[in-house]
Amino acid sequence: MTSTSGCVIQECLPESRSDYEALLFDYAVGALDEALSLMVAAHMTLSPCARRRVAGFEALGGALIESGCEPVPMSSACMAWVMAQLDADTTASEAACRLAVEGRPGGLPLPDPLCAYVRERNLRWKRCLPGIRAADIAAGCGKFRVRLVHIAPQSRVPVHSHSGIEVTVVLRGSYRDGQEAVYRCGDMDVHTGAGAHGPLFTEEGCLCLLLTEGPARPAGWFAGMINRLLRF
Amino acid sequence: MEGKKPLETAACLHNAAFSLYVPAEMILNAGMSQTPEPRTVAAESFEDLLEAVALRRDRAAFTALFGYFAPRVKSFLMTSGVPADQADELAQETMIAVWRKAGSYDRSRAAASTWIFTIARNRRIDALRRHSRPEVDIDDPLLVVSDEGAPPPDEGLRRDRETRAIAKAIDALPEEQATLIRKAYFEDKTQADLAEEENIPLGTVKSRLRLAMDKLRRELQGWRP
Repeated sequence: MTSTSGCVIQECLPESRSDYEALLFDYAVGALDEALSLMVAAHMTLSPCARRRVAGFEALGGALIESGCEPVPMSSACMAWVMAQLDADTTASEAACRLAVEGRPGGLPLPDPLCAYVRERNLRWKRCLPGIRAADIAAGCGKFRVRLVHIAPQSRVPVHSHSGIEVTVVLRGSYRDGQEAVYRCGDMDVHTGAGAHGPLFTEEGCLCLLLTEGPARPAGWFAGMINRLLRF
Repeated sequence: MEGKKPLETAACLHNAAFSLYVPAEMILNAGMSQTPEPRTVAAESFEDLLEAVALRRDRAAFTALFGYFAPRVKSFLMTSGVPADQADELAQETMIAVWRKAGSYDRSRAAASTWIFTIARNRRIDALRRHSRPEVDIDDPLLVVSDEGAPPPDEGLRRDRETRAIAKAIDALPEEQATLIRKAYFEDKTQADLAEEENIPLGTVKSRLRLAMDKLRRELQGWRP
């Protein structure tokens, strides 16, 4: 379990944060899938700390390009071709087409990188458990499933585990995972491997962006019953 | 800015800001040759060159950036497995994007080489993975800003020195850690990919990288990812 709560500058990161760190590092390197990149970009919008970390990792890339690789001469015509393109370049600077917050799909506080994937009419909310609704988002293809999840105040998600990675970014509100960790707006929660987590409880309710890999496996004797309801 | 014609570059080169630099041709020649050029040639200048492109559409500045960075971007792409022809094309596209997007460059946030790396990296993702890369929009009204306060005003001036310090610190890492870092950046591989390729457990890759980052944090004051 890894939390991004707080922005403590640490000389040595504890082992438990390595999954989270690895995600930011792989994003900076450019090796993440589209769906995982979307999770990181949404998180970075809401976390100055994460933006600083990624910028730090990118600085390594800059240093490696500047000093760490043997330059390979460009073909001779390249420079002239590029200069000719500049002559022809009349494009206005790329002005971002930005949605006002209240005009975003469903009136939800969706970070800009997420808006490109969400069309309001395509948001099909389905009830998963009492107090919990989820809507799928088509974020690239592949092995991951990305959803927006609404959890009503005073609701609970049972203990469960996943066969692969599970990443949650809190877009609004907060929840508590187990007894200790509290995730607030902007935090990212990363679980890898088989360990079970939960139960999650939210007092004020929350809106999360959830990425899962493989179906959830509820833990405990009531697993079979929950499994039908949960469909996580 | 976009509507203006390129200004007379000769005049720009006589500005005080440029009197510090060796003429662009020298940087260009250095970048095009195989011999290691004296790094001092471009000292303190890439960030200024990029700003000259942004503010004045300065072609001499752009030519100098092209001469230095295009062969390096090409090298970076070829190490990722891009064939030479395509690497030429992608390096050209990268440099054209540098021209077009220079206005959004902010030296208080990144060294010129870092900014150019991010553009080249994104071109590589477009070309090799054929998917778009979700990115933060720093003007997003939802953006949560730091309450740490603004960076010190001289931060931008130190960027290029920071870049050289980082390169030096990477070189000083134990070989197995430095290799892992270079592979991660240059070969477009996740840590899971690297573990598979090197035939070592994922946990080992993660701990090697973490050790490397911890060492870099200790070596590099002000580098705190």
